[in-house]
Amino acid sequence: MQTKLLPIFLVVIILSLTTHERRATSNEQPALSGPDIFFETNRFNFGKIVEREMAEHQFKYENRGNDTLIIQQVKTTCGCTAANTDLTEIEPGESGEIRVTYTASNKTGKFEKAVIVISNDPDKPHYVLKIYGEVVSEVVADPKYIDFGLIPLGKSSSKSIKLSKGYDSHSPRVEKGWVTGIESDTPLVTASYKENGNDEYIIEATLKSGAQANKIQGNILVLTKGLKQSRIELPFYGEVCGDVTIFPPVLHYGQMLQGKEAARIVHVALRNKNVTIEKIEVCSDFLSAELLPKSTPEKPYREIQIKLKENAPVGKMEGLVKVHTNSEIQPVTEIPVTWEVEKREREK
Amino acid sequence: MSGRNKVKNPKSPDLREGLSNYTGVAWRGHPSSGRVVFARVTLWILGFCTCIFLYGSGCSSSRVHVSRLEGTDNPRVVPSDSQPPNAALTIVFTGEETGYLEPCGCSEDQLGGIPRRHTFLRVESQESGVRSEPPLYPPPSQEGEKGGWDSRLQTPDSRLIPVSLGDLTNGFGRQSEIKMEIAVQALETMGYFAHNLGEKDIALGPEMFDYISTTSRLKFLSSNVKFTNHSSNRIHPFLIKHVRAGLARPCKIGFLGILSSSAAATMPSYGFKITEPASSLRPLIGVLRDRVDVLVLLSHAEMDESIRLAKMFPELDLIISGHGIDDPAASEPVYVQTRTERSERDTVVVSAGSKGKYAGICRYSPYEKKGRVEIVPLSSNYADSPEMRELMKRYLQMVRDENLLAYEPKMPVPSGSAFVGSKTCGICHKDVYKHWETTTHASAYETLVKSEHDYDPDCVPCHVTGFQYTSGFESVEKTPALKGVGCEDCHGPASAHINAPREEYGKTTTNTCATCHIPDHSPKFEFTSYWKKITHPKEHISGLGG
Repeated sequence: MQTKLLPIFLVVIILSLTTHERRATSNEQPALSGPDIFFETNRFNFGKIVEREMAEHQFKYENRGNDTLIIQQVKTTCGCTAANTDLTEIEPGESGEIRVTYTASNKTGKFEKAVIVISNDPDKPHYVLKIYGEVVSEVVADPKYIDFGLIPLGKSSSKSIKLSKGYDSHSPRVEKGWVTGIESDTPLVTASYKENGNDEYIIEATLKSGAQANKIQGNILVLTKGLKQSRIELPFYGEVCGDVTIFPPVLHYGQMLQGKEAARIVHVALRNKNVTIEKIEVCSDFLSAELLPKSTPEKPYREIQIKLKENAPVGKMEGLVKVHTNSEIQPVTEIPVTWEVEKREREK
Repeated sequence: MSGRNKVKNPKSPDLREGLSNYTGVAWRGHPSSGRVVFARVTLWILGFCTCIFLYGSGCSSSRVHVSRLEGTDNPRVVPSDSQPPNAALTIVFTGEETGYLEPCGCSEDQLGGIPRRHTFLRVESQESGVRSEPPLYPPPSQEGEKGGWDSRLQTPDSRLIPVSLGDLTNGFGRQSEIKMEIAVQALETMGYFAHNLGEKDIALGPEMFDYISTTSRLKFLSSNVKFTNHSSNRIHPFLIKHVRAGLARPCKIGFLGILSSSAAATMPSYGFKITEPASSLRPLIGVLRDRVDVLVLLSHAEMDESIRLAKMFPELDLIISGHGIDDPAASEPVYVQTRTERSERDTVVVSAGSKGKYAGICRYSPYEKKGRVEIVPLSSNYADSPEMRELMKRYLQMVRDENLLAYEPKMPVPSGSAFVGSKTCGICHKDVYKHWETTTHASAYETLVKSEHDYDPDCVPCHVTGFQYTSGFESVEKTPALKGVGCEDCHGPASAHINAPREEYGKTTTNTCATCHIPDHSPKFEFTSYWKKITHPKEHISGLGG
C-alpha cells in the first residue's frame, strides 16, 4: 500500500512546489498596473494639545503606480477632525498631502481618530490614517464642576472650586494677576475669585436665595492672561427643591383629532410628608383634571389625570391646571397645558 | 489565566493588511519563506489523508449538534429540522446621542438622526432588504474570521433586537427633559428592547425616570445604578431576551449594563446611587452565565475600561462600549482573547460611536456559534421615516411652546461694551456693510427659519449676533437688528467703539470662526476658502485713518 501511494505523494509535492515557485516569481516582479497610493506612515501623534486648541498635520503620500491616482474622498468620522487633500489627481511618481486638523474639545484625556482616504488604488481603496494624542488643560479645576446639590427653596448656597497649574512643568504659572475677571451667565448665581498663593486661585460661586423651585444650570466664565485658555468656563449645577415637584412641568398633547377625548398623567412628588394636595383648579373650558387614588404605597408620587375634552375646537390652544397644597412655601404649583386640534379629514 | 487575555487590534495602514497579519494566514506570506513550502506540503498530505479517512468512515455533513452550557447539563440552542442554516440573532446597537436627535441641517454631509435610523432598522429587518450604505466596518477587504467571530457570516434575519447604550440627551435642563421624552418615545416605536443608563440620562433626575418609565414600555437597564430614595423596580439590573429564531427551543440572550464611575463623576446624579461596575457585575454574571446562551454587556464606559471588563469576565460574549468614543473607525472592534475550554470564542468589544451617526449590528448564530459585527453610517441614503419626522416636528413644537430660548443663560460682556447691530456699523462702514449683506452670514437666521429650528436653543446661538450676552440677540421680535451673523460676532460688541472710535477695535482670529464652524456642523470648513467668502473691502473713513 505504501509503495502504491508513494508516487502519488511525490506527484502532489512536485506539483505544489512548481505552483508555488511560479507564484513566487510573479510576486517578486509584480506586473503593476494602476495607481498605487503610498504613505511613509499612517499614524501621527499630536502629543499634548490644550483644550479647545486646533492642531494640524500633513500626511505626505506618493503615487508609486503607473496610472493616475484619483483621490475620490477624504472622510473623517468624528466631529472634531477635518481633513482635505491638496490635489485630487496625482500622476505616477508625484506626491500630495492630506491635511488633517484636530480641534480639541473641552474634555481632557487621550484621543484616537481616523481619516479614511478613498481613492482608485485597486489594492487600497480605503486607506486609514490615524491621529492620536492627549487633550490636556492649561489649568486644572478641582472639582470639575460646581455642584450646589439639592437646595431647599428660599435658601442660598455657596460652593468653591480650585484652579491650579495645569498638565506639566511647561504649563503657565497661575500666578498673581493671572485671573483678570469673572462673570456668571445666570443672574441668580454670583461669582468671585481670590488668589490663594502656591499657584492657585479659589473661585467662589453663590446661588442667591430668590431662586424658584427648579433646576439650576449655567457657567462661570473666568478670564485669564493664559495664552491658550484666556477664557475658562466652569459649569455649575443644582436643584432648588420645594415641597412639590411636578413632572412634566409642562404638559404637551401635541396634535389631536377633533372630537376625540385624550387623557394624560402628570406626577406630583410631595417632598415634605406633611404636605397634602388640597385642590386642583382647571383654568380652561376644554380641560378637566382629577387626582387619582394612590395605588401602591411605595410610589413616591401622586398622579393627576388631565383630560382634553372632545369639545375642544380646532386650532392651537393652551390652558392651565393649578395644584393647591397646604405647603407654606409652595401653596400653588401651575401646570401649563398645550394642544392643537386638527380637523377630522386628517384621519382619512 | 495569565497569557490568555490578549488584546488584538490590528494597527496596520491598510485595514486589509492588518487583518491578514492578525488572522495569521502566514502560509500566504512572503514567497521566499521556507516555512511556507513546508506548510503547503504538509497541508496537501494532511488533506489527502483526511479525505481517505472521511470516505472510509462514512461521515455525513450534518450540521446538527448539541452543545452544553458550561457547568450544566442543559442543552444549548438546538437547531430544528426546519431551521435555516443562517438563522441568527441580530442585535442592533446605538448610543451616546447626547441630544443629537437629528442632523441640524447646516450641511448636506451630516450623518445620523433618529428618522434615518428608523428606516435603517426597517431595511435591516427585511430579509430582502437592500442596504443603502456600505458599512464603515468591516471594509470589503477585511472579511474574515477573528477570535471565533466570522465577519463573512451572511445571516439576513428579521429578528432585530435593537438596544441603546445610554446618554440619549446632553443631561440636565428642560430641553434635555423634552429630548428624553421624545427619544424614549422614538426608541419604543422603533422596537428597542432596552436602554442602558448613561451619566447624562441620570442627570435628568429620578422624577423624570419615574415619569417616562411609567409612560413608556421601553425597559431601562443598569447593573450598577439604583434610585437612592425608593425601591422602584424601574431600573432592571439585567434583562433576558428570549428569541425563538426558528430554533427548537428559544435562545436566551442576557443583557447587563454598566455606567463607568469616571463617566458618572462628570455630571450630578441627584437621587441615584452608583456602585463600582465590576463588583456589581460579578454576582449577576454568576447567576446569568448558566441561564442564557449569549451574554451581552452594554458598557457605558471608555474603550479601555470595557476591555478591562472583558478580561475580568470571560463569560461575556459581546461588549458594546461607548463613552466619548465618537470615532468608530478609529476604535475598531477589539477582540479580547478569552477563549478557554469553557468558552468557544473571544469577547468582542465594539462601539457605534457617538451622536447617533452610526448604527452597529452584531449578527450571531447560536447554531453555528459565529458572529459578525458591522458599523453602518446613517447617511442621507436612508430616507427619513415619516413617523419619526412627525416626532421631530413635535419636539420642535414643544421647544417653541415652552419658549426655551428665553431661558438660556446670558452674561454681561466682560469689556462693558454692548451689541448695536450690523446696520449701525453700516452708518460709517458703508462698503463693508454692503458687502456683508451679500454674504451667507447675513442670511444665517433665514436658513434657521427654513429648517424650522429658529426657536431651538441648540441652533440659534450660531445664527445670530451675541446670543450668549445680555445685550445680544433675544428674539426676532425684541432684537431684530441682531439676527444673522453680524459684524460684531467677529469683531466684538461695538457700543464702546461708537462712543470712542479707535483702530484697535475689531481685531479677530481664526478661533472666532471655530466657535461655530466646528466639523459637526460645518464639515467642509476650511479657513482659506471660507475666509475669501466673507472678507470685506478695505476702506478709508475720513478722520479715522485706516
